[in-house]
Amino acid sequence: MQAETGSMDVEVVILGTGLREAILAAALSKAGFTVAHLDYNEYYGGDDASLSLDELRKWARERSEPPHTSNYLSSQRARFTAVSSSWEAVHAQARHFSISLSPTTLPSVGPLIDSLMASGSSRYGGFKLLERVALYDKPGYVKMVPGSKEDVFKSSELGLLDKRRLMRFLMFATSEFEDKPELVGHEDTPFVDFLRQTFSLNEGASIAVAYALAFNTTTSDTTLPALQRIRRYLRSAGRYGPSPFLVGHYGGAGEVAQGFCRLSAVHGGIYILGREVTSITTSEIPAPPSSTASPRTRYTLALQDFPEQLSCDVLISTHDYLDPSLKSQATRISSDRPSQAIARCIAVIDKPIVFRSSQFSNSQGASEDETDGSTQVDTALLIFPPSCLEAGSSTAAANVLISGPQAYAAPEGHFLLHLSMPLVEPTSRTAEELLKPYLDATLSMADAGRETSASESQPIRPSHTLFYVQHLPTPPSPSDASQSLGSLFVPPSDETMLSELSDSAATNAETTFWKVVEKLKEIRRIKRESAETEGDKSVEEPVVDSFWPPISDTTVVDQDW
Amino acid sequence: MSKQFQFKLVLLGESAVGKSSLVLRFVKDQFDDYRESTIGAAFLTQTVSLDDGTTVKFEIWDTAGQERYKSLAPMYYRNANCAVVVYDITQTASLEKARSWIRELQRQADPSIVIALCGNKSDLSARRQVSQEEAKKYADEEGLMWGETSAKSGEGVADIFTAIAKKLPLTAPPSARGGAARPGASGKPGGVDLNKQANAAGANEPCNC
Amino acid sequence: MHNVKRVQYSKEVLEARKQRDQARLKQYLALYDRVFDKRKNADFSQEAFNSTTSLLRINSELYTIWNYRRNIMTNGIFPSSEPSKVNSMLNDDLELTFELLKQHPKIYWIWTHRRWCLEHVPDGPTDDDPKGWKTANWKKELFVVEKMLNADARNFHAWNYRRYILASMDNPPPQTSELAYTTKKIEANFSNFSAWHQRSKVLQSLWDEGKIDERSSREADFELVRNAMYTDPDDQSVWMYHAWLIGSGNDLPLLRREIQSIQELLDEQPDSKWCMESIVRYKKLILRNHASSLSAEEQEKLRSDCSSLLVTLEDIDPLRRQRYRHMKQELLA
Repeated sequence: MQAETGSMDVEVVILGTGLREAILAAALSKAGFTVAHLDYNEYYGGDDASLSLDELRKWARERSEPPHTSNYLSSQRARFTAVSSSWEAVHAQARHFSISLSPTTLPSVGPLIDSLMASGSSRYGGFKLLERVALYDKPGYVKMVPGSKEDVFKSSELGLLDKRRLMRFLMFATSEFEDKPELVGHEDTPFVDFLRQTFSLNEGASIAVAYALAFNTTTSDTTLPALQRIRRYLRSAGRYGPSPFLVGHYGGAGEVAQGFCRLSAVHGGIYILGREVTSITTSEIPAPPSSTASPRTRYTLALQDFPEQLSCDVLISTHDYLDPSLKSQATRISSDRPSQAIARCIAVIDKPIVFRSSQFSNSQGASEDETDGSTQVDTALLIFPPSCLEAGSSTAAANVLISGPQAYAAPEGHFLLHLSMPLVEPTSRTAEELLKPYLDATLSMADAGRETSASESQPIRPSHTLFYVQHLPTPPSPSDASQSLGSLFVPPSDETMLSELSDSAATNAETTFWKVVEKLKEIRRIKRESAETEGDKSVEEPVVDSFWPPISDTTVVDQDW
Repeated sequence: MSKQFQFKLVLLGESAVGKSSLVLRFVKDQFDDYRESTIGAAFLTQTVSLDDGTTVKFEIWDTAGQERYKSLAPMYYRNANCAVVVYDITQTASLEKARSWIRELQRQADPSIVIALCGNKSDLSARRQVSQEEAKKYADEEGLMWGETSAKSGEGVADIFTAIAKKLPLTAPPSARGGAARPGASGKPGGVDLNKQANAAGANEPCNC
Repeated sequence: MHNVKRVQYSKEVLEARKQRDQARLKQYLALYDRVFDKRKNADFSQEAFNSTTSLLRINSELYTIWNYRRNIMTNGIFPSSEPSKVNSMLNDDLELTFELLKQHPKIYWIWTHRRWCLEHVPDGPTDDDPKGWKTANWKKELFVVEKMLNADARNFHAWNYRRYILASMDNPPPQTSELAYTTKKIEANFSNFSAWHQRSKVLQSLWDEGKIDERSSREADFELVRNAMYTDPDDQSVWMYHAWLIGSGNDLPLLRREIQSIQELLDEQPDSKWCMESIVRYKKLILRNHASSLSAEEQEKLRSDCSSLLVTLEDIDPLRRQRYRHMKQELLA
């Protein structure tokens, strides 16, 4: 990093500190490249951030006000719409909430866990095992979801033949099924149909498998991807406990992003939050006369309230920071993600949710834990399959992630509800209209307390609620995708499914990493070829063999004094 | 059986006051005149043994340069049991900055956090701009510990960390006792240590496959 | 540069480790010789005792040295010790073996040494309370074995040991709570022969003593085992338990009902060898015990059903072909 006439010179500038970009920043810094990482917001995490109650309120306000000059905010306003909220007066412990903008459950086996461990970032954060997944049954009641042999055995809701069939399916789902006769030809069949026809699962079991094991979000979700998800999750079960999923402390994705950013900083990454990028200019540096290389691009960024300009060889950015002309220049690494909108709701309650099952196991000599089939939960997932609520959707499933003090998401005695549902068709209904029935159904399960009996208990009301629709950036068209590699990269968008989001961020970060590294190596080579930089360490040939370099034992020093 | 404690200690202060040098002196007993900002470690640990046999293990977090553009993450302050706010005795401005860091701590960190104000570069007393009296007065007003150090000569470094080590156990939360896993990480029920797989022994085969 | 440094570091570590291991091996061999010498010389001193501790910590499989240790206690130290000292030494050995069992849960000699310690707890602490120490130790022991079973519910030694403790206690917990314990273990993972086995013993004892109603209890367990069977027809322990429940096969309607249930499972899962095998076994039981209530045709049908099942079994389970052939021959005799 050399100061050249008021400009900070780095190899890479990354705009946006979402989970994917945070992982990328850490990997690039660890690989030895100079990185400056920026975010418009004063907090880390971007669209994946963990926010306190007050920060969330501010976030909502910023996105509902009229258009703004900054690219970032204009883009955010276009992407977060139909914002409505109901906010009680100031909460005494507003600071102790960690509310995620991207609620996610992290599979115990997968790319994100691998990255957490291989990078060393796992030391920064804590995780909690997801306690339960349940399916909504009727007001106040859920059905437990059997996901293991033990669950199937104990279930009192499945008949004998149903148990056999479900087990047969589960064993199939953990096998290498890609070429098996049961699947061949049915890869694109809607998954629920496949389960009923090929495995003769009854309606209840098919719904449980499709929406609470595979986490399908619509009735048209196809078989092959659903099976692949189930296999991944079944393989994750047991690693840290019965559930395949972990939920990160302090809001999950946002905290994990902070950890990766810190890792990047420790390896030299420069962090600048809370500044608007006022301009991005592209310039071309001609190749030295002796070289056969083509001219290379440089980007120069001006930031508000910042003394120096930033200049870099490679610019990585999410869509929100780029104006249309830059977007058209960008190498957009494609993915198969269809663009989709999601209706979301965040609610704060001060009573715990209780999962009450209308039927429960009652074996002879049963242990005393489940005397009435109900359990209070702190960190759990509630699924509403399509058509389970009269006022709800018949084509989309909604899910509710419940998190409380044990996940450090809320102070003692308080819980967060994160609802989300994909918008399958265009609709004129607001997020609030779409999700209110689901919120009310969830609230019917709050434990009003022992003093009130079931008949006289009033449904509880949240102290704070926020509704909005999140639109995802439109994916590049096939013609955009196959450009020659410039120096401006827009990473692919992540999966929005709650159980896939974090792994998708890690995979996308790695895909982008390799493309960027290729470009950076090329640039260093060009620089080396020009005589001016002889002996300059910063243009040495980088050795990048893997996404994360091996952790040397000397990073943590431990001596007795 | 002698008592063991583990604490998270965070460093704060302007760049160039010598925070990293201070830690390096404490942990590795080294000093490097030309060392650039950060150490390149996630955090460093150092254990102090007190006279009564108690051992106090510090998990020391350096800012990694994130303080430079006000970009310290909330994660930095999380569950920090103590903070060492460093200023340079040869730069008055750095004491001003230290005051704002202390306000930041009072805002972001746990109310029971032990704060030590540390005047570094005491070997450069010829160029002193911040008097001991004024610094000590401020420390007393705010209820902070105070001391002067020289990372270069080593003077005062052991003293200040030992003083912190003596004070912390008196105010420590239960989770810090026993040299347990990182404070806060597995404090609540259900906390998972990513490096420790569950006790399988055949107990969790999903399908007996 | 990054990678080069790492390779050097590893090499150094490896070399250092090699040196350490060689030194350790030398130490062990020297200790081994020392202890065996002492034993040869019938050394029953405290020092000899301590040296067996060191040796056994490194290698817990030395049966001879466990024996030697007990000899030292019985012939050397106990005769001149107060009962409280004896109790205290035995408690120390219980702690030692617990530590060792955590690392080596299946070394038989560690278990036997524990038993010996428990059996030699002296009367005490006082004349009025001669069983005090013993009771406390047995209670603690039950807790220890539960911990072992939590770590590995299928540890055959641990289950055996559990039965031994329950049998040795003056006031064991009631059989009904033991029944609940087996339920808990089976629900957690029913692929556990030892848990089913224990359950069968407990139930039999409860039935024999008239403590619970046999009929409804059997019914409930048929329900339990049927659920297990349908969940995983390949689990052998489930079928063995079912066979135990069937017993001698004197109840014809019961046999018929169970055969029907297994047949339905077989229809759903046509390749299940345990289903086929059980149907054959139970139909044979009918033939053997209830021939008088069957017509000639019915008997013939049963025989041919079994035959054809056995033919299929020979095919899908070739390792046991001889057995199935033998069974077929028995049928026709």
